[in-house]
Amino acid sequence: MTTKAAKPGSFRVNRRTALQGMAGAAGLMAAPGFVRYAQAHSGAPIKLGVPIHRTGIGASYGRWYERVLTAAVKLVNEGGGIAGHRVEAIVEDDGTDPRRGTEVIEKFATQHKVDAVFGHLFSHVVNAAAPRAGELKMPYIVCSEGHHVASVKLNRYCFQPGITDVKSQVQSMAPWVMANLGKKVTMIFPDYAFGHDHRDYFSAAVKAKGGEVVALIPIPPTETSFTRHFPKIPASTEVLYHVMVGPGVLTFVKELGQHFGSKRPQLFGFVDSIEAVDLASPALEYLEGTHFWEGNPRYAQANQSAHDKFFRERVGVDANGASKSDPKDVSTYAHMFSVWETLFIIKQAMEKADYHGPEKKVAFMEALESLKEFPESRQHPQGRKIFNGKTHQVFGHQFISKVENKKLKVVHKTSIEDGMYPDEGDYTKMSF
Amino acid sequence: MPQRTAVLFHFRASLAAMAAVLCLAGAPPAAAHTVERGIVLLLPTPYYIAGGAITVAATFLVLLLAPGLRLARLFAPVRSLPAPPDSWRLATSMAAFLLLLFLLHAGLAGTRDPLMNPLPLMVWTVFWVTLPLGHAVVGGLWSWLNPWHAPYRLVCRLAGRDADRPVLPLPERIGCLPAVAWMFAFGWFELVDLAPDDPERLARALAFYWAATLAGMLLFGGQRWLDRGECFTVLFGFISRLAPIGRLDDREDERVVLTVPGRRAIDGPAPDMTGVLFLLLALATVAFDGLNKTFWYLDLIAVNPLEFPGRSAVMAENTVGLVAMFLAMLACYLGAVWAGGRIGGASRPLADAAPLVLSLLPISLAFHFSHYLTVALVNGQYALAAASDPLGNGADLLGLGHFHVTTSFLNDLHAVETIWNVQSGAIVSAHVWAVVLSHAIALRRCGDPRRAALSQAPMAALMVAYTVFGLWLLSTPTGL
Repeated sequence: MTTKAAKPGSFRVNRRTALQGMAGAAGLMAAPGFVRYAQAHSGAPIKLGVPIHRTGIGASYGRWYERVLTAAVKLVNEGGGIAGHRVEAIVEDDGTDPRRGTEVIEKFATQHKVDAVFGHLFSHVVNAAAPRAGELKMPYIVCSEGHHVASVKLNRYCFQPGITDVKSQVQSMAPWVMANLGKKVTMIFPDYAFGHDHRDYFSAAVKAKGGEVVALIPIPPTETSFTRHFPKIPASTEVLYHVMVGPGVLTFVKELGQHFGSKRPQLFGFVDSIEAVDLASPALEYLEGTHFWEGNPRYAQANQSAHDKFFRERVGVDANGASKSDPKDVSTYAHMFSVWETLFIIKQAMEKADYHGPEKKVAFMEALESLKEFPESRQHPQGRKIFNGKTHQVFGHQFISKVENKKLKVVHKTSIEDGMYPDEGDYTKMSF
Repeated sequence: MPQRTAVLFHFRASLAAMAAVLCLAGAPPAAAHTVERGIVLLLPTPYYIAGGAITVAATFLVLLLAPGLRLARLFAPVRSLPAPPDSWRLATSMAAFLLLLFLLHAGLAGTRDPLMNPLPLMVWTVFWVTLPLGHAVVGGLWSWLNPWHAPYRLVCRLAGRDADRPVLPLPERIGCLPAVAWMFAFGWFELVDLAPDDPERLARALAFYWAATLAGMLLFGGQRWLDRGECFTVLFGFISRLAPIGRLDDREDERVVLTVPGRRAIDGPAPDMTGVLFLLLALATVAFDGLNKTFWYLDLIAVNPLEFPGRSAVMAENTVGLVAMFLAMLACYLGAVWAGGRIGGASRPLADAAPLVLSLLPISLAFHFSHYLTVALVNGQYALAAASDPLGNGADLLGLGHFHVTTSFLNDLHAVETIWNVQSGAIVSAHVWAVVLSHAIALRRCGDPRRAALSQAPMAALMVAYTVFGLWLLSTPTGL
């Protein structure tokens, strides 16, 4: 770790990385929105509570979310902080546990007295913590990609402005898949909520585009061999949509190869299956030539933006999406940008609300609801996004990548509109 | 091992209801990336398991056929070593106490991040993972490093009282039951508690244990309470008997000696039945730490291993599971001793339960090593970073420069294969060692080599089964 806390959770600039940071900050300050506050910090710091899955089932994500957080906070502070206030990020481990996640929200509110909380990822933790955040009147900004915020079933304090939700991601894949891979789709998915979301959203999108789901094959979550399920794949299948996760993924791919050999249908999957997994891992060679959704392209593309380059540089990630300190340490690149972008959105909304302390919490959230668009920039390296202030959910581009030479090459970038759907409610009609 | 009970069925129903609520509210993202276990699933582990079982069984057969007296001679030679002055213990214990104070301060006032705060890293990685292994190599480290010896002497001196004179007598018959209770509390805190990694929570728990132990020492006598009530003194005392270096534990011989590893498990005083309970509980704790993450166990308690709901949802199940694991291991062990006693014609078939339990020490050690190997490799890096910057002020005492923890070796076929080979090698070797030790202990107890060997058949069968269990634990899919 390159930075450490001086007192509970506070971030300090480490002299080891200070020079690198100053160079980056100079560049960022030249960007729009940074001129005004490129000055010395003043007054009390703005404290942000960041519940991170440091232990438990989400720990592999948590390790990278912490790295992105450290880099982003450092950059914000080098650029003058938020509205002239230094940012202190207070990290608490929630153990990827709903009860602990809720306790942590309470600690942030009563013990650390933070201005806002952001960064929660796993949906079962978000669903448990969100009501408590509302009760404590704590702005609660998640990086979860669940549909919970956009479903407008949480409360007005909950936002997801830094990453698109799974419904949007899945439905935006359908047009390209239908047009390029085939219209007859078989879906193979783990038989629980995560898989069911894919089943429901993609089936609906396929139907809407004139395609046909020829078979749905749910796999029991405890399954470790999959060969008995493959005969259920109809011969008419043109596209096999797969979203397997867990330790059985490598076995799944290996057995899929043994079943189909070279005469396989087109394969389309979500990178969640292999997030943070090296594509050179054993058994994954069968994925060569297949397609994946990516939230953010792991491999730097030929047309890589300067913003993506900057983001990788600051987080310490190379062109293959792996740690610069260990080229085999693959990051959670498809998702972790959300922490970075969310922090800059908090900064933008706070500065718009002229936020200098907790008395302006409501103004901060109203400012956040009023934001419409985030242009592609160093603050938003994943790309341009449109924010829906009524549903508190952001919409953005998605990527479809093909595995070529054990790397993911982007073959299609969806339009933002591909992922949009009618509002399911209006948070602004709720009271604070 | 935990069985399906009415209680669990009740939990199953409540969890199903909870899961239904979560499903309505939205789906979680992908599960954690247990890539390492995914690669292990591709390895031919069933062959390893079969090979391990055959090796342990073959060891027993060789001992059955070989003249037992040669084995006894193998464990005979000793060589005296110079022993450090006992007075140095005051200095090392005081240093350990000061380190403890610093760590408690860090836990209460330092960063909240458990992977940056030195307290959880020191307790769960440096202390709990590596210190037991250190005791198996160089013996009684804890008697030098425990943070009570020096403060206790100091308190006694200030109070003007005799350090060895207790205020209250500790009844002989309770043996080390207080240490058994503390061992259970420790295991429960580690495996069941909601947030054992939380620096503040851990600091409070640790401070409580330190104070309770000091109080026990003041009431019942310093060394007497450490030997009976301080669970790590008891645990490390057992493990030290495997080390090639140590005291003979003979009242008439205070020499520090160099011996064949395990010699001092055969010689010296046998534990009492409370020692049997303690050792089996320690073994069950480490075994349950592996079992509770397996698909098999999670399915048993009706938890989807791909979306583990968090510790809070399984606290009752894991409490039952930990106790059930202990009881199952106790039943298996006593069953094997009883059957062996009957085969050997003993009038009291369970009489050897206490001395023979020392033969489980290598297994306990190997489980510890194999189970925590990857933890040590990953969290050891975090501990290194924390050691380089213990106060969290950006210092770089160890000159690590830009240091980022990596887990890429868990993502690499060759590295995972190497880790698996080391783990399985340790498990099988330890069981071979255990069969040899149990045979040697039986030889001491029963003069007739052939009868001693035959009486060990049930114990050998248990060792074979436990080898299979240990290798299965390391190779079966896990959900965490």
